[in-house]
Amino acid sequence: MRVLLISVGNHLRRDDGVAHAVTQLPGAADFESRALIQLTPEVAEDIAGYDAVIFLDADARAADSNIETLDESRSVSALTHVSSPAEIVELSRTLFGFAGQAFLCRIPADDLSCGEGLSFRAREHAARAARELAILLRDLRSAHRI
Amino acid sequence: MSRRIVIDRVTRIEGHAKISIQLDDRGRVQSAKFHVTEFRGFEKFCEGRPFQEMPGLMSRVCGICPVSHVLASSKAGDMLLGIEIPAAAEKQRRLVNYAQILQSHALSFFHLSSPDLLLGMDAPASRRNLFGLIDQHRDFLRRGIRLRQFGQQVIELVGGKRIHPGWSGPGGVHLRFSTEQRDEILRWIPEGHESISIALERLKRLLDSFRAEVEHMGNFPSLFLATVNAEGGLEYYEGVIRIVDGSGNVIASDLEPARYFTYLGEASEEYSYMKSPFYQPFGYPQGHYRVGPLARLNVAKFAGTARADRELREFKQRAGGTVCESFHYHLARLIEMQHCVERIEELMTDPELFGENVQARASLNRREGIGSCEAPRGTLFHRYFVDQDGLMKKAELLIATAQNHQAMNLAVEQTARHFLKPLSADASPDEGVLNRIEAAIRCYDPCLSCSTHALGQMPLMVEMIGPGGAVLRRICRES
Repeated sequence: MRVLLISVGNHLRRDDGVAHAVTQLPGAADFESRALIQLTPEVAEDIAGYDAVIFLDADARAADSNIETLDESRSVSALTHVSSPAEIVELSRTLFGFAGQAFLCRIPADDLSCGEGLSFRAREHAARAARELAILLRDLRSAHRI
Repeated sequence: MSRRIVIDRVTRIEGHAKISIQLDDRGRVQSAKFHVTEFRGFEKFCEGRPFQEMPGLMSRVCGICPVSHVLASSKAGDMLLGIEIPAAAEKQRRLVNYAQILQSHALSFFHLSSPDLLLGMDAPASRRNLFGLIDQHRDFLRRGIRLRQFGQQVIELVGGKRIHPGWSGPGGVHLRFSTEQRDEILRWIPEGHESISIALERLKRLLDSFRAEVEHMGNFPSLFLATVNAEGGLEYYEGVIRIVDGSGNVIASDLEPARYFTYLGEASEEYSYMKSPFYQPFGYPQGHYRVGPLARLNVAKFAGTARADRELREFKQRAGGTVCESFHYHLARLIEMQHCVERIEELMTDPELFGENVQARASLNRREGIGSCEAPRGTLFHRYFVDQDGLMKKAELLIATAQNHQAMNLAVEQTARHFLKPLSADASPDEGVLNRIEAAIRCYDPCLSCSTHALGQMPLMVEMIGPGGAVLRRICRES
């Protein structure tokens, strides 16, 4: 089963880069991953050949880390430079034949100022997100074997 | 009673901004302003860092045009070292710059502006987006994504990664270019030419249905500034600065990019974090100028490649000389994309690109370094001051979008004056009118700051504010 993790964010804006930290933690580090500063439309073609894609992103409004299934609604973000994971998945399904599962892992972020390093809260949530991710990946693999 | 309409935030541009329109007591447009509400602070962040780190740090300024910042920063570093880089390194930098202009323009034209162009300015906001194009324009949309993919692929192949390639630095680049990379890039060329030709023909056919927008969405004389080569041709990496006016007169030529601060000034306005650069001999605000695709095509005498030269001649004939209509930034962008694909193709057969020596080595020889290049949105300048150990004391960045600041204000004002009819106190501006005001800004494809990414939708907010500052009416719509 081919799984792709796509972490999004800018590590020089502190917690904005928390998603990249998650992909380096046990549970996620064994999977193919790509680190992006932002989602742009051509990612739709990149994900087309995978069985599952999991987007990881900092979310300043999230209270806790969580993983959700991406619905197939044609949601469009108001600022297109921030293409949403749902947009990417929908574009990929429509234009490039993506037929896999898609998930979004939101990780709470507090500090988006210029600088390096994560806040204490972001580090905690990164570890929690990595654990949740490991469970999801295990489930995906067992379902695929069945 | 006078009122103010604020469009906050502007959709489908890169970054955070808002538009406010001041109405007089009869509901007519009095003035309009484009505000930038995002403050980045990267210049401050760089202080104390070794200058060799600057290309890597500066690439984080932007997620759309990181290559431009890497190149301007690398060139400032070259100057600090006091060296000339090997030919192979220069060719690689040129190659990646063409690729970046291609992918950035593809995003602007196909993804941000095509919904306006193909679905119409008055199409419902809920449909006027990428998904609105899927049913009737699927192939067109797919080609746009693939063109962007082409540019990104070249950047990744040569620079190591797509978004923040760190392959270039003071003294040259870190990797040799291989024949395998060449073969991979060559595979994309035919599709690139075909897709851009299709888009060009499509846009030219559409222009007749946008006569009012061409005429009234930012059509005014101004100065135009761009880099040209020694013969006056289109140039993106190294050359001299030329300035022409709205009638095509050459105002200044052969200006040294490294001396930009002697002829370009920066004014500040209290309503925006973005500076307002101007050509010093003309003063502020009379010396405002435009940069980017429209400016480059107005300033250059020729493109230097067959397809782009054909299009450039037609482009210049369209206005009988200098093209002042902001709407034609779209056309200029496509011509530049065509030129970039031609230049990429040319470079694939250039033996110098494959040279073994890609890095010149030296110690710090100067305390001040300046680098410039043509970024997708216009001329970009980086100026660094370092101490005796090469640690950054100060960084100054003059970015392309800032240089279009006054032009964007004028475009917003002209669009609002023409399309926004006098409003009664309780009336809302028409959706299509608001979109045209935004579209005037989108012609310039401003990149205000892509450095922070966060989840969540940002609605378009329109506020009508009375003379006392009270919000009389607030309209919020998703786009």
